[in-house]
Amino acid sequence: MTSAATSAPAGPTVPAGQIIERGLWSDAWRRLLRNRASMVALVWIVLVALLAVAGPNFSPHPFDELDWDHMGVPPQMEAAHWLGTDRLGRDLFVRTLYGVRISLQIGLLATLVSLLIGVAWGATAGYVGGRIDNWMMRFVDVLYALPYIFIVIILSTLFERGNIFVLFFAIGAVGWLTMARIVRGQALSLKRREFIEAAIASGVSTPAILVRHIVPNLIGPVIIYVTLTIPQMILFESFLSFLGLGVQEPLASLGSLINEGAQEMESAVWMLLVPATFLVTLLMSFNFLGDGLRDALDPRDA
Amino acid sequence: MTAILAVDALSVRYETPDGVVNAVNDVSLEIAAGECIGVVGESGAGKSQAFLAVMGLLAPNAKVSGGAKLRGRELLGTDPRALRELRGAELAMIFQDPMTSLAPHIKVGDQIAETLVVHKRTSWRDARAQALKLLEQVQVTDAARRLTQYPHELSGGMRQRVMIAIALACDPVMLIADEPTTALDVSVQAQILSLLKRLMRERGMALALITHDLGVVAGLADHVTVLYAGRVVEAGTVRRLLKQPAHPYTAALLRSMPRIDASVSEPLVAIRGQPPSPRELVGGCPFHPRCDLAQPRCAEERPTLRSTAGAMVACHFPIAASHGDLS
Amino acid sequence: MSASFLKIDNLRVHFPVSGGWLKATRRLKAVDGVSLEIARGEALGIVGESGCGKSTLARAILKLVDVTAGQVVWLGKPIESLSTRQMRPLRDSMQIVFQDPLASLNPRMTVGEIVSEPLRVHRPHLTRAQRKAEVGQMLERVGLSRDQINRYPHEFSGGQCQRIGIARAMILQPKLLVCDEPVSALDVSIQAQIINLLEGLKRESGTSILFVSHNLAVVRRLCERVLVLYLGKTMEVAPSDELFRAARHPYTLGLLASVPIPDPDVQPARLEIALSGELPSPLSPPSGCVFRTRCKFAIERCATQVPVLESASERSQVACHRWRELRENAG
Repeated sequence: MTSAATSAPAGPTVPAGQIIERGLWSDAWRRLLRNRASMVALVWIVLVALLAVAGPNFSPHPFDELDWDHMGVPPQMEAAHWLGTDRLGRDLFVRTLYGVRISLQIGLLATLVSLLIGVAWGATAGYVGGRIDNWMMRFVDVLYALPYIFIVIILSTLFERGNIFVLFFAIGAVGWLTMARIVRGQALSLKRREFIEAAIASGVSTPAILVRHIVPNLIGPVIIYVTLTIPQMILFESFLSFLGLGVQEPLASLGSLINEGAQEMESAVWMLLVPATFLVTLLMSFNFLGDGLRDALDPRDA
Repeated sequence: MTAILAVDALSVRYETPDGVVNAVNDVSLEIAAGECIGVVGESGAGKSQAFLAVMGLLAPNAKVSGGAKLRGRELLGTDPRALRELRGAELAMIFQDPMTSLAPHIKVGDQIAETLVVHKRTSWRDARAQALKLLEQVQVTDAARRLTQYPHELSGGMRQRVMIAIALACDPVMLIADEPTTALDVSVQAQILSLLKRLMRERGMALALITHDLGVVAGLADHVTVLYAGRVVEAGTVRRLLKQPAHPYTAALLRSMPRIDASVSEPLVAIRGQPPSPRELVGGCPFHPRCDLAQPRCAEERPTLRSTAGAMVACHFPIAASHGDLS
Repeated sequence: MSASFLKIDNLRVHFPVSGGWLKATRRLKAVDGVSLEIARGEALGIVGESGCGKSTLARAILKLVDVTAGQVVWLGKPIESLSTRQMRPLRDSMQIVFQDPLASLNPRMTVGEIVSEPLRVHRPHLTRAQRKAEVGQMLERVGLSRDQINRYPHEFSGGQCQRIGIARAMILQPKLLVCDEPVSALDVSIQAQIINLLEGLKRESGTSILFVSHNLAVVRRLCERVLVLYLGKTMEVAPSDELFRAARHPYTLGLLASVPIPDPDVQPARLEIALSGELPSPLSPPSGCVFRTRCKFAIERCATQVPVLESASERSQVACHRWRELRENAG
């Protein structure tokens, strides 16, 4: 009988078959693949994005061309107006796809801004705690209370109306607030976990703990929230455009197209239906994807 | 000997997207009235799963085969409603963590009384009076006040006593205790074990004590069954098993336990490797990768449970008794 | 010149607990006046039930928890009032192994990254290759294989995770290793592996160990001296064999009697001499001797006077008013 108390290293090496060859992400990915709704949603989003990028090339019409012969016509094969035209004779297929482009761009950029600010703010406040956390979150509360519509209106009057950058800055500046709150909550629960204590015991500095330990473990909930923030940003932008504060002519976003379409709803219903369908299906898809991601990432993360 | 509980070739399997999980493999055991059987094993051994199967408390995707008879009545596969009547009334179970087993939002007294109201159809007033008596029987101090408290106001040991009171409320003929003291301090553990022993004697109740601690088993059990990888590897009287273990796993387990009564100069012999997960299918004897006495035959042929000189062992090369028969 | 690495004098760790709007703030006295010394290469066990303050004590020594009063002297230097920044350079000489093996490892870092982090902090001059070499060596020392360096914690079992935690703690060759219940969460057959590993490391590297555990049998195995803690106060300190053979304090005796022995001829009878009651709340500890509410030998004096920790033999101390007469009566 071997005595394990004498020699070093004590304990056995593990037989190779006992280690499960699975990364964290491949596990989650596999779970996501099984979720049919999420997969359909993901495929649709990718399709629409590709369409938005490449689609207008298939049509002979540029997005701002006025086709005098086919003003306000319903979807038809003739003259390649597959989704019809608007009151000014501009092809709806091309315009809608341009609108999707702009909406997606604004949505994604705004989300990125809110992600960067929100994560940095929330993680720091949550981890550092105490008075700093207090001040940081009270600041968030104050901003939350401000009516964003008025801010956007004021900004729009200060800069040119429909300036894209003002737009997504304004939207992103609002979006980071909720992200900060969510991230702070996550950071609060993370900081009590033992591996953080272990890092402190090893002498790791606070910034390093934030970057190496806190943030990487936030990624799960953050990804989920990001996929749910994108539709919110798109919707917000659409709302602004609908009010006339968003993108200006001749540029189009889904919101402005819906605005135009709504005015012609009774006589030319396709002018509303086409952009609205794209908007609704995109929003739904992002939401389904977010749900699926939550299910896929949750079992692992406590 | 009329067995209170007779488990026969019980197997529990789960089919998951990641593969088949064999939690329990062909487990048989018997408990007589008033007797205590210790069921010993580490995590993944299947000891909890086996008794959850008997109680009918497994997840719906569990595939159970074999038999489990309580006083001659078959439990597996019976109508869930009939089973619910049996559960709590004749067969009761207590678990490791009383905090999660007790409802956090209901007063402790009401939780005890509820069992009586549901199973014995007593009135709430009578049930609460009985609950007070039960709390006193399980040695809860200041019982009248405790009746009106919530689980989080009680200490771990108190909560476990409450669980026992709920289990005893309908005078079951058998109690299954799944690691009842693992989460408790050693001093409270001794109290709870002493209590269980007393209750067994007073009520003539049978006890199935599931644990990983051989010391716990030594104090209470008459017979012991050792499980490894969902299979019975050894079974016998507590004396024989602890003094003269026949299966290499039991022997190795005893050697690797630090004891306060043993000399420190004796080396602690660790078992190499780790317990197999229920997902793995090891050919031959499930213990052979970790066994110091393993021979080539052990990797190829699975040993069956056989009676050898007063012991039931599943091993091709059981350790022979060195002197006399201790059973 | 004192050979003690670590010296703690009358340490107190109190947590304020708010009583609500109108009630005064109460104090939870987790550690209430503990003094101890650890020499180089020595293993000291801290035993007690849950809630007795041993984990808090371990963390206070490492300054993971603030010290309310008292002195912590490490390598001759008082550290109890050092700021976080001042503590950092000292941390390479004192490390900790936690109870929950998986929880103490960052799930998003590979084993290699986890074990090399202390090197990155305290030996920044090392190159990546040098770090990798050291990590590989350390992994083998603790019984894992070098090529597992890129795996994630969830791919390992509990026992293996604990080895990783030990590797991380030992890679800087600390002078003091604090172990907070390192084997409690492991399977029985794995516990012995980890105990042997710690024994081996202690022997080879001469690291002092502060071993916190409620498992007396494990403590007996590893530690030369034992300190028994109850509600944040020391009840008894003695060399291991003295304590286990002939303990003096009623609490120690009660605890020892409660530890189950896997001997069916002996154990059934031992169940009857259990300690009664449970640990009182640390928010309202009993007056006088904190153990008196559960002590079979308590007298009037125990309620009014706090017993002083006095020398009972050359290397042991007891805090009990009646220890002498109890010892005489025992025989």
